[in-house]
Amino acid sequence: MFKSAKRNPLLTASLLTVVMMAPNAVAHKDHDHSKAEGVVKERLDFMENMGKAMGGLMAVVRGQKDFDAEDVMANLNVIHKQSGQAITKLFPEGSNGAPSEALSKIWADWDGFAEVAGGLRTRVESLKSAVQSAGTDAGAQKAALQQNIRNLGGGCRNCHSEYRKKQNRD
Amino acid sequence: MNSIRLISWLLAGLITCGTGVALYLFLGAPTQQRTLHQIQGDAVRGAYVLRLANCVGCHTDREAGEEGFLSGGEAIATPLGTFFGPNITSDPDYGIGKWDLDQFASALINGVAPNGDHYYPAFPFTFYARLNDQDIVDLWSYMQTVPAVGNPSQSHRIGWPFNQRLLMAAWKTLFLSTSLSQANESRGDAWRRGAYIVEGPGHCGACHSPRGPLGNIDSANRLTGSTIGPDDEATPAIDPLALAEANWTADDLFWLLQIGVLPDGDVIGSSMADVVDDNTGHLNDDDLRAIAEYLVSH
Ligand code: HEC
Ligand code: HEC
Ligand code: HEC
Repeated sequence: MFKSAKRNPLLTASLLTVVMMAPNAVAHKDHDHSKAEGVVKERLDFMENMGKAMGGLMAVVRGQKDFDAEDVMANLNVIHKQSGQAITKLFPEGSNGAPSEALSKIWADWDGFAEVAGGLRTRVESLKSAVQSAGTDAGAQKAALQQNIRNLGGGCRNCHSEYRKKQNRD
Repeated sequence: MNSIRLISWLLAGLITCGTGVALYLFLGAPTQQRTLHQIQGDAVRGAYVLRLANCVGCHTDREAGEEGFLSGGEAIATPLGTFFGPNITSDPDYGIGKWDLDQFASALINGVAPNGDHYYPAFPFTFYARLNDQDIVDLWSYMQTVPAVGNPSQSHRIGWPFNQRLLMAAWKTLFLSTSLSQANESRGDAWRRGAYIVEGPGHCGACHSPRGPLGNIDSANRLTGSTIGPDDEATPAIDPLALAEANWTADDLFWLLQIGVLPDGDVIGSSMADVVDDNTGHLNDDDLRAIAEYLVSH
């Protein structure tokens, strides 16, 4: 209904009462994968796994978990393995629509999508080498993680900003 | 941006209310006079204010590379047409190189152009009206150092009658609040700093507050989320109650604003990812902690 309302302010005004009675907020809820199937389910699980790896890294950065080089590397390796073409191959043309949050822009701008998928790879590689070149001192390794985690987060944001739109999960 | 959808509501309201009332409204837009000339500007601080107020977000085309910096933004789609943040580099012909401090301040806090035209609230001057004097002067010092780019601003694509800027005068009479102080004396410095950023330059409410019938921010329900956010997307509530309900801590908010990672390891998307990129990701830890403190406890 908003398509037409967009072009007609009077209609918008009359619809307003309806709109204003709608719930205002969107709660942040976990995405229910049970309604997804096939490649959509596959990539939701894939992305959720990526989120777990990111969450593990953040817990260290935030000081909620002690720095453990092996654990940090394992999480970085998950993201490394799950970047670039590992992402793009999970997005066959037209595989969106509820419950997927993927936007059609992915296929309208496939090169851009592939570029940010590859960008994540470059970023995680540079974070890995920063941690590795910090030697064996846990303090220095943790500092390298802290300095570069923003850059890694940017690798995820670059794609989520353009190609994904969170749905109302109420 | 969505903030413009309000203009369609405004118009609908005006037509409904009748022309007589409307005419009255055109005369009373509030204006602030500030005395700024005695204040020493600091361009380095000004570069920070630019980030604090996210001027980059609407005045830079991401695709245009470094030379595009502040020389004109991407399309902002709205119900009445498409707006483009103009070139605000120091170019004398295409940018704001010929402006003076008072003209710059008046654009930001009154939404009025040097020739007296009224700006559309796609330019969030209702929030910038709360900018403090020092921040305005520092920002102006910085703006003068922005390399000139001779890139003509794109004209907004708005049809009649929305293209009548005079309508904005009436809207301002109703909704431009010149109240400057968000300060609550019983709170600490960090909380007050957070209030200033969130309600002022940070303009979080431009997306996160519901809007009234004429597109004005519903100030009684500030930050409780909006059904019609940017790109027709709903924005979540970020008021203290909602945040508490969803178990957000101030520390969670700090990291979300700095890196964009949600407490569960997911990474923020949509227009909020751009906010992190252009705006909150550039702020110092003290300011991010201040924003977080204010959000959970105002
Ligand atoms: C190249 C694009 C791209 C990159 C890079 C990317 N994502 Fe995603 N992500 C998506 C898309 C698209 C979706 C929505 C998929 C769907 O709903 O079909 C998504 C969804 C998610 C989800 C939600 C899964 C669910 O259960 O709904 C999480 C968590 C996530 N991503 C985490 C991350 C993290 C962490 C990173 C960085 C380490 C990252 N993503 C990088 C495109 C990307
Ligand atoms: C949400 C988007 C947005 C943000 C954020 C924003 N602007 Fe704008 N700005 C606009 C739009 C759109 C216009 C055009 C308004 C009009 O034509 O009525 C504009 C107009 C202007 C103008 C008038 C230019 C002219 O040629 O008349 C100046 C100066 C300006 N903005 C400076 C700033 C500064 C400084 C900041 C940060 C403090 C800022 N803007 C933040 C969208 C934005
Ligand atoms: C341009 C519009 C816009 C502006 C300006 C904006 N936000 Fe957001 N914000 C959003 C959108 C859209 C989301 C939802 C993103 C998603 O979940 O994909 C969001 C999400 C959030 C969330 C996560 C809430 C949750 O429950 O998931 C927080 C916290 C937040 N914003 C805080 C802020 C703060 C603080 C500011 C001001 C500094 C701000 N936002 C400015 C659009 C905006």
